[in-house]
Amino acid sequence: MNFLQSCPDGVVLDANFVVSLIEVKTEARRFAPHLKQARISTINLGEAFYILRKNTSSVTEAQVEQALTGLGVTIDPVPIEVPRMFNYLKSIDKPRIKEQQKAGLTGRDVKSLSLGDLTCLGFAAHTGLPVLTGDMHWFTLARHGLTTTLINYWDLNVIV
Amino acid sequence: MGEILAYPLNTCTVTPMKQSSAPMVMSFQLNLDDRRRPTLPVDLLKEAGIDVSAPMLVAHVEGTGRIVLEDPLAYLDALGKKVKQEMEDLGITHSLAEDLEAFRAADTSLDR
Repeated sequence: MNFLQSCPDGVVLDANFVVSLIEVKTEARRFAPHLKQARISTINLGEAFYILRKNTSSVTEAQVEQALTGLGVTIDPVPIEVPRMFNYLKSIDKPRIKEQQKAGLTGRDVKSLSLGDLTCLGFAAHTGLPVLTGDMHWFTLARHGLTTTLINYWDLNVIV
Repeated sequence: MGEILAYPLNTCTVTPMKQSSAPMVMSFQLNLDDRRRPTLPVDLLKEAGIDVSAPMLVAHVEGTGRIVLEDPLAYLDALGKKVKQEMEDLGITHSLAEDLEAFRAADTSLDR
């Protein structure tokens, strides 16, 4: 898969990608010069802020914002159309949860969509853009009806 | 409108003339227009290794009278270096992405 050809109109960034970008993980960093049409919702950026602050104090939220906007990323508020999609997205998630439980997984080993996940996927569906993420649970939802294009930044077969 | 000098470094520093004793090889004089906009010379950008067609630079203050203009990728890398160093100093072995995954996994508020 060629990243730039896959998203000529832009891409939505998941918090998962952003925290790896801030940590300058090689797999995420290689996308940095190509984020001029990228967008992230304020909620998902908030998740990244929270995780960053939980682990470190040397970098501020404003600096992260500056780094992202400097790369060309647009930070978007969440429109009402996004939460309107939450129930639909959870209906896709439920069969996958049951699959995992049938396979013997319990408790936190069972992956499901959190509010942050729903916001990012809802935002991507609203904008019609693919998502750059490393959240592997999302990739299992395609066979249950998730139609959003997902790009796995950990996958080195994704050519930038 | 005040004159400012810019010195070629890894990052491009814009400094008042009175600090011209800084140990630099080359300096560039920049004039600000009536809306305080400077035009950055191509040679200055090249010297700093910044793409001359870069649509945006990140600006921040580095002490009194000193403004640093930085290539966004260099700025990102500098932040990342700080984060990595601090996590290493604190003995944190998980990645931020792993911590986010755990944070999201703990949110089962919609699974009941």
